[in-house]
Amino acid sequence: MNWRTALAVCGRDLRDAARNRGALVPAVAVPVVLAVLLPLLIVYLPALTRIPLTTFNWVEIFYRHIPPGVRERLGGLGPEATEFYALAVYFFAPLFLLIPAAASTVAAADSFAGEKERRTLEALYYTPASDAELLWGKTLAALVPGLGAAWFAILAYTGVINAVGWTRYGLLPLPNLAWVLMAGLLLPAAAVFSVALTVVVSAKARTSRGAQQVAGVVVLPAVALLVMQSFGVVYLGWGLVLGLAAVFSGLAWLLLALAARTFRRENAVLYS
Amino acid sequence: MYNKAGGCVREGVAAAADPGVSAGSAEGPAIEASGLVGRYGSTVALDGLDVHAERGEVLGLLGHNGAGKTTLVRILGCLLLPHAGEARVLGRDIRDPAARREIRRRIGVLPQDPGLYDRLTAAENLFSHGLLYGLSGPTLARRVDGLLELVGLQGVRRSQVGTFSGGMKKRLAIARALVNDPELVFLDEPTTNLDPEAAHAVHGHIVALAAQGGRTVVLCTHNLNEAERLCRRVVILRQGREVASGSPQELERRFRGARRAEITVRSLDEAALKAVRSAPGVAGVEVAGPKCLRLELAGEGGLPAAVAALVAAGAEVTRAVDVQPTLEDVYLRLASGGDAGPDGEPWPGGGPGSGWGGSAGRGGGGRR
Repeated sequence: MNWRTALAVCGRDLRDAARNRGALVPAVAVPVVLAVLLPLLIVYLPALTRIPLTTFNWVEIFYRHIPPGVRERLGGLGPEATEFYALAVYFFAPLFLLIPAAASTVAAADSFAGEKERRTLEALYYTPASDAELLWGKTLAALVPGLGAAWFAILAYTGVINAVGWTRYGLLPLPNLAWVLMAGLLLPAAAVFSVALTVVVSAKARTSRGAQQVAGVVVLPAVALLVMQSFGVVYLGWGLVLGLAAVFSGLAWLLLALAARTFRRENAVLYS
Repeated sequence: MYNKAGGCVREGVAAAADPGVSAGSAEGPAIEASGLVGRYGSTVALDGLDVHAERGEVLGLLGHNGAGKTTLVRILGCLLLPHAGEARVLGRDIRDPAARREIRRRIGVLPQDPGLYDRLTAAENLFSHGLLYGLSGPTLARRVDGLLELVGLQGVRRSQVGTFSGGMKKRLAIARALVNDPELVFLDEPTTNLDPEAAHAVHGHIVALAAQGGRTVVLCTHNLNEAERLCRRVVILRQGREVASGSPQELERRFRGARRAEITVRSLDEAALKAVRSAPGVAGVEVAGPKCLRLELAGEGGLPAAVAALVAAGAEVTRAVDVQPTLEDVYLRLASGGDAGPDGEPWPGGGPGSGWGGSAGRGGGGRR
């Protein structure tokens, strides 16, 4: 495995993706919506409409299920600040796990299937790059925008939440330990998992659209986490973040090991 | 390395005078394959094919769509493994995993589809391809410059390839196939779908490529003029098997069938027709027009005898030509499985009606 070759594959794909509006739009739009628009909405919508957030059923359910330990920590805050803190720090956290999948889907699905459609893959397969180098290069190329977008979104979200929290409630909610672990461990693990899965699907699919449809399942764990947290089944504290990071790391490692064993260019072109 | 004109010349090997063959090497043949079999599902693309190419040779692979040309390139280019048979490319066994990578490092391939990245510029396409061969820095930059110069695209090096015409893309793809200074180059239908002007430009580049010493070129083509002009030797494929091989001239000689001639007269009447039909050495006469006769000759003296008979019958002969068979004639007869065999030779593989016909799983077009 020559990393220089894998990086060359990655570099070309990144350069190509940077000029592809279809890949750029989700990589930019998703973090902007999640990191900037959503927190502003949760803060200013109640103020503008004079309707407390807990009027909304899903927020009320979430708020009701906040574990006692978290409530104690928020004990000194007023109800509006507590709502803000709980939503900003806990409720929206799983959404950030969606960003790598959402922002990378187009690039990852396009990695092999898109090249097949544009008939650029055959020339690539004739090069001395090994199957593993091709697979890693393609995975990295899809991972970079997704993970980059997620980290950018977390930074921007932290800035917006702290600015609003400080000016309205004298709070600086982020970062806390759970968010640091999420950004440093869980997000990369979840991103590698979702991108690797989409790239593997792309290598088997005939079209990138087909790959996108099949690979859509990668968002399910984050959606499930969001729903479970809403109903108080789990709460995204640092322990859960560490546990999920371990699970996603294991799944990502398994997936990549399996892909490296099974991906053969001979099967990818070929007598099919 | 690159010459002053920007053309790339393989290092350490002198260019030969004959574009069809150049300085050989003691390292053995460039390609040595026997009994190659390749299948797509139940469809047989290659059916026990033997191929041989010497170093420095320009070998033409001729055949209709589905004859197995592209499959052969994919197998020899280490993209596919054959289902049966053995092959050595540049002295290395194509079944050996380590050798496959080395072979890919030493060859260049122009696939049938140029397969360029439309959103990248011409220079970026070459540069990013060169990186995959371990080239980098000033060496790669010089090589990219030289190749863009060679194919006449230096002026558009910063333009996105998506804006290029089909001919420009083919030229750039040829440059890309040379980025690693390969010892063996496969060109799979390099002029297909090009207008005559673009095809002519690509021909020029292939001539230049073929003239560079030491480099072996395998040219898959439907263009018989191209094959006749460039190839020292051609292999005609049909349904995954070789039906004939040799130099274009040798094939024309071997497979020319009955000799033919055309005679034009000022005016044609019954007496003249009767005279030419009874001339010695004339096996058949066809009236091809009011003033034109096509003759099938039975021997060397057929044409002079026919002209003498016409003159004796009062006809004024304005033109008489011995029609030489071309590679196209040979190709059309062999590649399409015509019903005539070469003079005095059995058809390779048993001839028509002995298993060549389109049995299930062999017929059909499409790329093979």
